[in-house]
This record gives sequence, structure tokens and C-alpha cells, in this order.
Amino acid sequence: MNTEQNNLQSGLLCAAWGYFFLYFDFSVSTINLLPRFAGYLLLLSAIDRLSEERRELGLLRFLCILLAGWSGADWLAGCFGADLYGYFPPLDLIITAVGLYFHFQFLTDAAALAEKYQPPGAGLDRRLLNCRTICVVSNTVIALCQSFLDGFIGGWQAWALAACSFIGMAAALTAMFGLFSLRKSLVSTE
Amino acid sequence: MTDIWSFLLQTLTASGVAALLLVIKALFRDKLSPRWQFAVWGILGAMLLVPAGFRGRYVLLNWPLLVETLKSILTGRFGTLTRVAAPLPLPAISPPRTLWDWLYLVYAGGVILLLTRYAVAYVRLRRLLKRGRTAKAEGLNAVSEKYGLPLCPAVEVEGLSSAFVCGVFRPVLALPAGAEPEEKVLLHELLHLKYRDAAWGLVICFFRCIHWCNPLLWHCANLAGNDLETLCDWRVLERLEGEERRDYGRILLDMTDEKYANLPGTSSMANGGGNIRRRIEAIARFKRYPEGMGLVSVCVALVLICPLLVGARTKTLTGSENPYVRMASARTTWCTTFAGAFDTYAKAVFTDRADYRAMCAPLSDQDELAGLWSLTLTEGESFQGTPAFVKKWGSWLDQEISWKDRVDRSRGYQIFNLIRRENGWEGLLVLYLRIPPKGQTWSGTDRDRWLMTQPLFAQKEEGRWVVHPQGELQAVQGDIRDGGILELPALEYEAQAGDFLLRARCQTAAYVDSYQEEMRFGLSDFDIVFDTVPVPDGNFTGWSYQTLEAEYLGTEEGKKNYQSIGIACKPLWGDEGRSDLTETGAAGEFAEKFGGGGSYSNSNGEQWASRPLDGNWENTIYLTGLEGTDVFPIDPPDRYAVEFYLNEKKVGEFTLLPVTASPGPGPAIAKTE
Repeated sequence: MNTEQNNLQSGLLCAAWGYFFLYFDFSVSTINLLPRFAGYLLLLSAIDRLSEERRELGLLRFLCILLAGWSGADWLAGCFGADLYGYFPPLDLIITAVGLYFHFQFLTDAAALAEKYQPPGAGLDRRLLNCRTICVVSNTVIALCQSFLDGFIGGWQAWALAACSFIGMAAALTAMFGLFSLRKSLVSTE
Repeated sequence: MTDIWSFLLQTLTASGVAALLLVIKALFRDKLSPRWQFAVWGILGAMLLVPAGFRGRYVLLNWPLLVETLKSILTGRFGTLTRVAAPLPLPAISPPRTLWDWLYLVYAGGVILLLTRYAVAYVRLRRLLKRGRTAKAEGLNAVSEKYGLPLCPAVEVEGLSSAFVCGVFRPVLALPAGAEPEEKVLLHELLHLKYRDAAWGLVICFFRCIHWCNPLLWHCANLAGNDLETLCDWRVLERLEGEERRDYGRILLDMTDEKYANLPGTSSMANGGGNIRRRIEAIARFKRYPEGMGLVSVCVALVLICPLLVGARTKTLTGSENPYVRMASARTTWCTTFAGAFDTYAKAVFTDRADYRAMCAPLSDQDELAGLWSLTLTEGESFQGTPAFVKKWGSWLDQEISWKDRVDRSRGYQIFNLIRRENGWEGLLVLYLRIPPKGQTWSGTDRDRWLMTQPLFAQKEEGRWVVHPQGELQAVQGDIRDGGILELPALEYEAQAGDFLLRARCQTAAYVDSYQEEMRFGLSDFDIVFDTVPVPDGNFTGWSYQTLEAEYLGTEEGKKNYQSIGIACKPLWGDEGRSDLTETGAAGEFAEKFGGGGSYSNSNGEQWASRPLDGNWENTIYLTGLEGTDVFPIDPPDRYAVEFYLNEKKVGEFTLLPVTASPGPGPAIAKTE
């Protein structure tokens, strides 16, 4: 197996597991054993491995480091029962905007890789693009609701937010499985 | 803006947003298109147009707290609240008297001076252009036709170093005399014309003048102008291919050392050496953005602009105990509901905290409260007796027992008989005492419980709910039952039935639910404690109380004719018919229970009660009481339908009608000595 193929496969694997860590939680007491910062570190590793194949991914490196750092600090605060969100509103806003763009662009680049390497008729690129669009819209709606509802979420608003969260999560998990499938198809092609 | 403080608040708020945008733009510099990079300045523009501190909200950081603290420190006053009436400087309300008034005058003068300077420069430029000669049209027409762009009059002017478009409503393209303009330069300027970029230049210049003394906003104005030029470069590059793009970059390089016109209403291709170098770097990064980028660009802009426009509201006081900071925090932590205002006042009385009181006090009381807060700090926790704030309202309170020991915090507070008035809400504050007033006794039960009451009125003043006490704190000894507190005012309904006057009393009580579970140390169970931290945006939980009684009006001798008394009662609203009382089988159920005496009620507020009348019975017979939770605001019944029984026989059906217009918040018993 040549180095490029190796990087491609391991990069896709890191990306898929990265999304797993981002969207699944398993906590013991106040400690989350599947921390989000681990997900971002895996995505960072994916960027390093895939950026040779797709140069645009390199532009996301700094944003990924920022998100990993923020998630790490939040996880650490969470171990002591604190929550960083809301502590410094300007930073929350920056992280929200950066997160929105990062996942949009990452999945766009992953779709470009899928278009190039997927088996004929697999449609993985389309699937990733659709998941990307659903994720960015649902995350935007959630962020807007949180700012408009001013901390009060009850009644139908709670249901709407839950539905949005569920849809976004379903799309992200579909993207995750898409990345696993793409990697699998690369391995089987070999 | 009518004073220096409102300008400070407006400009600081805008500065916070500007700083955020600078960070965001740096993060997305090479990721989102030049169109987005320029459009995102619209967020700052919107914030500059929205009055800061609107409805007690702040943007990103609590700037109102900072400004209020600074104002109090520098002026020594606590009784004003900075408001931004408009995002532009307006004439001051009164002639300048203080240093701060004169500072505002200097600021306003600066705005007028800058606006005048730019206007004069623009007029001079237009006159200069009028003296220019009409430029040759062939090159212009060719570019316009090739790229489908609009045209405007063009003039050649001596001494110009670069081309520019001047004017928004009657634009003119100014060209250097003696030189044949490059096609790409004409393309750049015609694109400025097509998208009316000179108008954006005017807007940027206007905000630059309004915030002339804010270097950060001045810097942002420069950056916005540069982004406008970069956007125009991008539009040019979209229309060029391959080598033409490199040519365009070379043309820009040649302009690095040229002087340029930086006037409102103009747009110039040359905008300074440093800026041109940045634009060339942007050209090197040029790419056509892929499909879908529009969506994420809009989403990122939305998640930025919406929280900024909506703002946030502080709901808790700052932790600092410094009087200036604390009182500023109290003034800027608005009570946004009347329930929140009553709650805050009640807890201010509970804890005797002037800062809590300041949250719901009119601005006219703030100076005095600031003095009381400072007193609290100097006296410290060891202060005994009745602290200054409560003493102001309860002159009868003795000094021997500390306030903390006197009030029973576990019972919380209630606002009795809340009534909506034309311009506010009226109610009676009720607190429970653990220790009776000096010289008084208490059995320790709720039958003769000592209470503290105070009539209150809440109204909105300039957006804040404030509470005005309508009298002193007074001690009242009350009989607390299921049907309410007998000695407190109530809505009364009466009807005469032979020798008896039948009476129903209705009281309502409301409070903001502040009970919390507190884990007992080392154990797995909890105590329920009452949290004395104010909830300025709270909503009421409501309770209603009903009591039924009969008052004997006949002679002492006539009493022996009566061996038992009974009543079946149902509250009615609107057009409800009294026949419902019988249809529900109330009479039948009542008969079952009648013999031994007792009372019964259901969730509809219907009640049945009977009492044996043997021996020496009192003239006033308490029959039954009922309490229940209710959705606030509680609507008292319009009347009561009653079936009256004497000696186990029904003597008639009556309707109890209201006899008091309102429960009246005033205390029932005069203060103790």
C-alpha cells in the first residue's frame, strides 16, 4: 500500500471517529469519557493526513486547533462541575461561528474526496453534501433560538429545539457512517 | 445621545462589536469571500444605529454597568440611569453646568466640525470636476459594452493621480488628464458605479464623524473602505481570465506610491500603499467560491448578528461589594416583571439589603439607598438591632433582637390580594415573624401568629418595574387557616338568611417560587430552603383562599332554637347558573356528612360544612376554609351560590354578593407600640 493511500485511509478513519467523539457522550459522574476535544484532535489528525490530497483542508487547521482548545477547556471545567459556556459571551459567539463554518467546510472537502474515490454509483459525495447542509441549518436554528429565547425554553420551543437537535445529530451520524463507508471502499478497492 | 455618558455607552457598545468583528474577520480572512468580508461590516453598522442599552439590555459585555459605575464615581450621583434616546448626538436638555456637560459640548462640536469639513471638501471637489474637460468616450463605451456596465459623465482633470467616481445621485467619473486610462481601471471604476459604492463611502464617513473620538471605530472605518475596494477587485477578477488578472495586479502595484482622494462620496482604485499590498495578496488568493458557500456565509452572519441585536439582560447583581459598582449593578439589573419587582422588594426586606431595594426602587431613592449600602458595609455582619433600610419603614421595631432572628425565612413571603390598577399593581406584603414584637405574646401556633404587613404598589418607570411602599411595615396578629388569614383584608360576599348573615371571604396570595432543595451534609435527603436572592424576571405562583362563616344577628334567647348549622356553597363567575350546585349532587353528598359536623370540598371550589350548635356558641361561626393553587392572575368569583341549612333542614337558597369593591391592601390592625 503506498503512503498516499495509507494517509487517505487513516485520515478518513480519523475523521469518522472524530465525529463519533463529537456526537456521543458517556459520562461517569462529571467526567465525560468521550470528550469532544478528542473528537477535534482526531479531526486535526485527519486534516494533516488528507491535506496533501485536498489542499483546502489545510485552511481549517487553525480553526480545528481553536475548537479543540475550547472543548478541552470546557471539558476540564466540566470535571469540576463548571460550564464555560456563558462565562465570556464574545468567545461563545466566536466558537459558534467557527464551529458552524468548520463542519460545513470539512464535510464539503470530504465530499470532494468522496467524489474522486467512491465506487461508481455510490453517491457518497451527495450524501455528505446533504448532511453538511442539514447540519449547518439545524445548528444555525439552534443557535438563533438560544439567543432569542433568552434562556427560557419551555413548551413548544423545547420540542422544536429537540427536533432540530435530533435532525442535526442524525445528519452528522449519517456523515460519520459515510466516512466509514468511503474508507471501507478504499480498503476493498486495494 | 444627549450627554457624554450616553455617547460613552453607545461608542463602547459599538467598540465591543467592532473588536469581535475584527477577530471574526481575521479568522475567516482567507475562507469567506470578499463580499462576506465587506457585508459583515453591516453588523457594526446596525449596532451603530441601535440605541445602546435599549430596554435594559447590553451587547456582549455589560457596558451599562461600566458606564454607570464610572458616572457614579466621577459625579457622586446614583439617581440617574444612562439612556441612549438616539444613536446620534442631540442637543443637550439643559445648558452646560458641569465638566461633563462641557465635554459633551466638545464632542458634539467635533461632530459638527468634521461633518462640515467633509462637506466643504466635497463641494470643492465637485467644483474642480466642473472645471474639467469632457473625457473621450470611446474607451469608456467599449468597456461598458463589453462588460454590460452603466455609464456616467466622465471628465479629465489636471493634477489627478488616479481615477475615481464622485457622487451618489449624480455620479461623475474623474480621470487623470493627459493619459489614456487602462481598460481594467475603467472596469474597476464602472463596477463602483454599478454597485453605488460611493453611497457606502458616505455611510462610513458619517459614522466616522459620529464616533470621531473612538480610534477603534476610526480604524474599522478605514478597514471597511479597504474591504470595499477589495470587493471591487474581486468583481473585476471575476470578469477577467488568466493573464488579464496578473495585469490587473501589476496595475495596482503601480499605484502603490500614488496619492488618493479619501473623501466621502468618492471611490478610488488607489487607496494607499499598505492597502494596495493587502489587495494584491487577496488577488493572489482569488478563487471562485464553490456552490453552497452562500449558505454558510449567511448562517455565520446570522449567528453573529442575532445575538448582537437581541442583546442580553443581567439578572443577578455583581459580586463586588464596592458601593459604586454594587449600586450601578442594582440600577442596571432591571426588574422586568411586576412579580419580579415585588419579589425583589420582599427579599430586600427579608435581608435588609439596600442593593436589593435599589433594584426595584425609583431613581429618586437611589442616592439614599447608596448611603444605606455604605452603612451596611461599615457596620458589617456583626451589626445588631434593626438595620437602617427596614428601620426606615418600621419605626416600631425594637433594637434588642436582630432582624435575621425576627423574621421566619422558612415561610417565605406572600403578596396578598393583588389587584391590577390603571398604571400598576397593588398588593399587601406579608412576612411571618418568629419572635413577636416587644411586649406581645405568641402561643407558637398559627392560630395567633405574628405577621408583618406592608401595602405596596408596583408600576413601570421608564421600562423598569419599581415598587412604592404605601405605608409602614406593621405587625399584625393573625389566625392562619386553610381558608386564609382571617385578620387580613379580603373580598367579602354576604347575604342575609333570617337571623344569620352568611359571609364568604376570598383572599389571593402570590409569590415567586424561591424554594430550593438543599442536601443535608452527609445525608441523602434534602431540606427545603427559601432562597433570598431576588428573581427580577420572576413570575407569580398563585394561591386562593376561601372561608365561609355565619354571623348570628338574633337575640341570645333565640339561640336555643338552633341545634346545627350547615351550608353548601359554590363560587360562580360570569353567566354560570346556580343550578349546577344541585346537579352535581352536592346536596346529597352534604346530607351524608351533615349529622356529625364537618366540612368537605372539591377541586371546583365547592364546599360543604356543618357545625353542631350546642352550649354557649359564639355569634360568629367559622364554617370552613379552602385553599388551592391557581393560575395567576387569579380571578375572584363574581358571587357565591349557597344552600343554607338549619337543624338539618334546608331553609333556602341564597346568592352571596360582593360587599367590598376591592380587598384593599391596607393592614387590618393598627401597629403595635
